[in-house]
Amino acid sequence: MLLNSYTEMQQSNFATFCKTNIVQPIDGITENRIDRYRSLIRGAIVDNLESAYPITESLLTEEEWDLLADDFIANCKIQSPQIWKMPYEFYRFVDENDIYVKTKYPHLMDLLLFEWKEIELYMMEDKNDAVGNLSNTFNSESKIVINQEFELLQLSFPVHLKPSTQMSKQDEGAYYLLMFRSEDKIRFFDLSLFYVKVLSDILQNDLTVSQLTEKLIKECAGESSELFKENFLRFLTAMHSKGFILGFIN
Amino acid sequence: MKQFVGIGYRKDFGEDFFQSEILQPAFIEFAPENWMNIGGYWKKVLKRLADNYSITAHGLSLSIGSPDELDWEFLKNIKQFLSDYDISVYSEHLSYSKCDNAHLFDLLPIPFRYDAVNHVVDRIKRVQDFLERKMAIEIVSYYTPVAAEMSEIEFINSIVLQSGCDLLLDVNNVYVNAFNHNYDAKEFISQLPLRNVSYIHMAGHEKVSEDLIIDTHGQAIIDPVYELFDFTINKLETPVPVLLERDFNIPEMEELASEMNKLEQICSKAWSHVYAS
Repeated sequence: MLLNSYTEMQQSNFATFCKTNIVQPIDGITENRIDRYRSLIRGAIVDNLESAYPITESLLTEEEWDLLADDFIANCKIQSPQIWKMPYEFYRFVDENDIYVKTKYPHLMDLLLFEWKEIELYMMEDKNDAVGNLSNTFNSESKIVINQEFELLQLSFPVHLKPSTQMSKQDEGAYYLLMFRSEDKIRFFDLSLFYVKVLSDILQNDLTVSQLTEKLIKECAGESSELFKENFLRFLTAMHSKGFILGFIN
Repeated sequence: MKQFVGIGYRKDFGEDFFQSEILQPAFIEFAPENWMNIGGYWKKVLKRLADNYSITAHGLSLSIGSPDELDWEFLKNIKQFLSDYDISVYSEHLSYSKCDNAHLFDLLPIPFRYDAVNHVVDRIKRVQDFLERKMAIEIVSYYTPVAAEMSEIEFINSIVLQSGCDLLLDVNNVYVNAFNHNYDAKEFISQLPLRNVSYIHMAGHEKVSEDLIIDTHGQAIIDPVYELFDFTINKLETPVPVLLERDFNIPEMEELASEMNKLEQICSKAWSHVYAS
């Protein structure tokens, strides 16, 4: 490298101060101005985090939020050059480190994931470009074409159903949240485990509507096949109208 | 449609930007980091604007002065973005924003040192080779020097002339630096390699104390900066694109239009002879 170790050290010490507020020797600086950089960097990162995680920010006390943000800035080596992706690194940082607020708020990780996934889905590259012409109606021989811009989350707390400030340990359970982008908006569906299985069958098997129906009926003993079929077809229609099913190949 | 003056697109402009015919920019600038590898609504906005205007790209995260290795994957994405939207002007900051393997999302001052010149020149050349185009390097505003062993003007001129890159002259930054470091802005500009200027930025700033101005891009341009702009463009031999930057406190479109119109008038007056001849 053409940079000598002295210059590299000066740059590193400057950056370290901006991240940590720890003063290390930096030659030739105007002492009362270096703080400006620390506040500009902190402002850029914290503004972005607050915009990405508004529910989390309002759940934590101001002191908890500030301490968490400062811990992140000081200790996370942010890898993405795209600032809009930085909140994911914040999620990972909280997940991977022993942080007090995770104990105080057991639903914190679910909440962060929920808020991040909304951004990620909203911004993600288009994936449905090549679907071609699809029918809006289906018959027993139709194949179902799914919107590929989706996430299916398994959560331990119903962060999508209940205000985070009212969440308690008693709410802990298994929750399934389908999130997808349709017409440039993010839509949310709380799913039962049964419909998670239905979705997984739709996604994993290249089957017609009738083949899927038969498969599901066979695997779901205890429910009348007519009622099941009716519910399944209603589910398909609802998911199509909401944009999760893009259409059908007849 | 304006002939010289464009605007940096900000998501805060929203639908107003499309519904208003007021601005009529000559071109629109995007920060590629905020627009590449995305889909959905914002990609539609980008395409809609790219279909109707010339686009320039002004990068934020290349970190050309960093001790860290260049991020080639990032540059690959930049190259693709420039190609996808037929972008001819790509500029970046003469600063560093990544250090010790961590992005900082602000522009830190590179030490004005001889080894830093060699380091930055080498990196600019490698970036230009990779992108197969020249890039323009912006003189950034800075609030403190760091371990300097040469003057700012010597540092900038050495880098521009040795690397063969273009210069993005942010006139407001020169004004801010001249105030903060107590030198003469016009004299500084006169000493720059003005033949290398391919792009100009203009913006507002905020005076936060008796001896310090912060380059906020959050206020209207003040008269002394317009005056410095007038002085600057009259020293250029050929017209270059001029950009109005406004990142915060986004005003009504009429207010932005008024600033752009003022810049356009100054450009038209200075550069009319080019077209007359």
